[in-house]
Amino acid sequence: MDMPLPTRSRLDPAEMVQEGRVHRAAYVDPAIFELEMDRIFGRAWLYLCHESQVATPGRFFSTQMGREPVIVARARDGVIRAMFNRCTHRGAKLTMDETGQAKRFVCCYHGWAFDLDGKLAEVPLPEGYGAGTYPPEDGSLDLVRVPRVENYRGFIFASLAAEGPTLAEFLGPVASSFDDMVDRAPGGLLEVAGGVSRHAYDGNWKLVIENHNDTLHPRFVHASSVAAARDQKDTVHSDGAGEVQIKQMRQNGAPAAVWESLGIWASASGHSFMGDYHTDAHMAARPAEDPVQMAYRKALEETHGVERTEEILSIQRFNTVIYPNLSFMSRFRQLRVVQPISVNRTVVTTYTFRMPLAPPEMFRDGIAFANVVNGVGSLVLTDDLETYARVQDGLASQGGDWVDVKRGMGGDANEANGTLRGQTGTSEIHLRAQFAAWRRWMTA
Amino acid sequence: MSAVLEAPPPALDPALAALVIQESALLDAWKLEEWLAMYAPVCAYWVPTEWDQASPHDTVSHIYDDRRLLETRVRRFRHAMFHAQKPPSRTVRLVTNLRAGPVSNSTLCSYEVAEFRNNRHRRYVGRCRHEFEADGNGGWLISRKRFDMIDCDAVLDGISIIL
Repeated sequence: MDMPLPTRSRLDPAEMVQEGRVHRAAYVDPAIFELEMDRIFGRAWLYLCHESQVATPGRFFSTQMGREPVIVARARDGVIRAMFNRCTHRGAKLTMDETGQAKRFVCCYHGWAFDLDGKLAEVPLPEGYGAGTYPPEDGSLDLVRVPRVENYRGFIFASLAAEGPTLAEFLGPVASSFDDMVDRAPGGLLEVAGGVSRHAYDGNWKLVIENHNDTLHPRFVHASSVAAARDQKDTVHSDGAGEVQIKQMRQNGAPAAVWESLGIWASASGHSFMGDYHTDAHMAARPAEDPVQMAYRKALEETHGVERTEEILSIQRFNTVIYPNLSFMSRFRQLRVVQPISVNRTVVTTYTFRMPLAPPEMFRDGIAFANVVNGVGSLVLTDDLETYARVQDGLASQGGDWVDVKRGMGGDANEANGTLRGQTGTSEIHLRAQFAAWRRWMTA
Repeated sequence: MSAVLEAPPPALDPALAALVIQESALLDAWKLEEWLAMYAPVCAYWVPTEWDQASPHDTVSHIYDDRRLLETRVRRFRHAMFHAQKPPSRTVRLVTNLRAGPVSNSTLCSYEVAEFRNNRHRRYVGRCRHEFEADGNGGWLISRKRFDMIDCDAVLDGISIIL
């Protein structure tokens, strides 16, 4: 018989993930959250930004890697580096801007100035620090660099650990979702555009990461928007924005058989993706005979040729999750970064990508799509956020210590590309993969 | 005295002013179908993510509804499984500093929506612009409502009410 485990004891993470179940402390124990920040966010490859956000020397972008504030900047030598957003003098954050153009980063407190590569370039009134000693030539007061930065097809990741698997090893077969996103862009060109959506919820960071490839929830969580969209007369005026959103809501109401038949794949690193969900015929994408879609295909054929274009467009991926905290839609050019704030508070920052060589209407569709999947006032997202908060509330209770993740267990099948495929489209294989990865990070 | 006198600001049309107040009152009373009936067949309800956002089509919005989506939004409130409205919100709106807007048949106001739901009190504060068009019977319909919240670019929690 199981002994109940008290929530706030220092549980051994190795004991918290068992076959088909996870202890609730993984979601509610502040000590576990701190350990996650050290062992997962302190070591895994974390997404920083897309190279289009730091396209030219002087462009910078600031973000968080777990608890750590970092600046990503392209220096005059063209190299993109990540540095802690902390003055090496007395510790002030150097920039409060999320994005911008800089010649140097100058501290507000005593004016220390750092070059774009992090080198301490100038210390005002240096005599007072000891004649001829500041800035020191040995680089000891340069900004501290994030030890490893790598770029996969324009997507920039970093790791706070000096050693570990390479980004390619970390991404494994799921890197193919980035390939899908880039290959779908004529000329291979993508750029972040159209502003930023941000939302927060009162719940653990894992809840949103778990939900993006949860194909069972839409019929319950999204029942109200599915029904409201189904009953909507399409003769009523839309300037295109509502049409895209309503299509997506209706798609959430696909019959159970559709959800069961689609594909869900997971990898040993805890990553996962969902496929076969949307076909061009009935989705927020435009049908094949639409003039915009035809112009897009033509542009793609100029890049890849007819045969390869056909192959690229036949891939039907929806959400891809890169564990621990990135989720993106290669086909709809949406990317979401999950930032843990505390054990029960999470912020999700979302970006839309433009394909500069594709018809402009596709970007407009992408903005409308972003509003329905990421907008805080979305008819869809609001019910997800409410659900995360209710899960967090429920897991704080002592009315049961375990979370059940057994759906489809035993039916996971090895695929040739090195992933596991769920027995059906509603398998919880992605959760089991995430917690296997969680357990490895937390115990090794 | 200055040689050049500025033109007096356009006078606020009392009929339009009354509609802005009525719109707000209908939302607080949860008379959503009556509220929707105040809107034109081609209309927009817009809550931008950027202060001075130029377009709802090339930048994301918290909310951008055309008429078709607005009807869907209202219908959803009558569904039993609108989880984010369980328990439902209670709201009170403040409309103040109401004046004529920069284009004809428009108004500007300072606008605040106070919401209480699930033991939490939230406030949405900003400037609100209404544009109207004649309904053909001597009255007016709202063709566009734009609410620029002062914290439009902040991290926000889900917004399940109509603002």
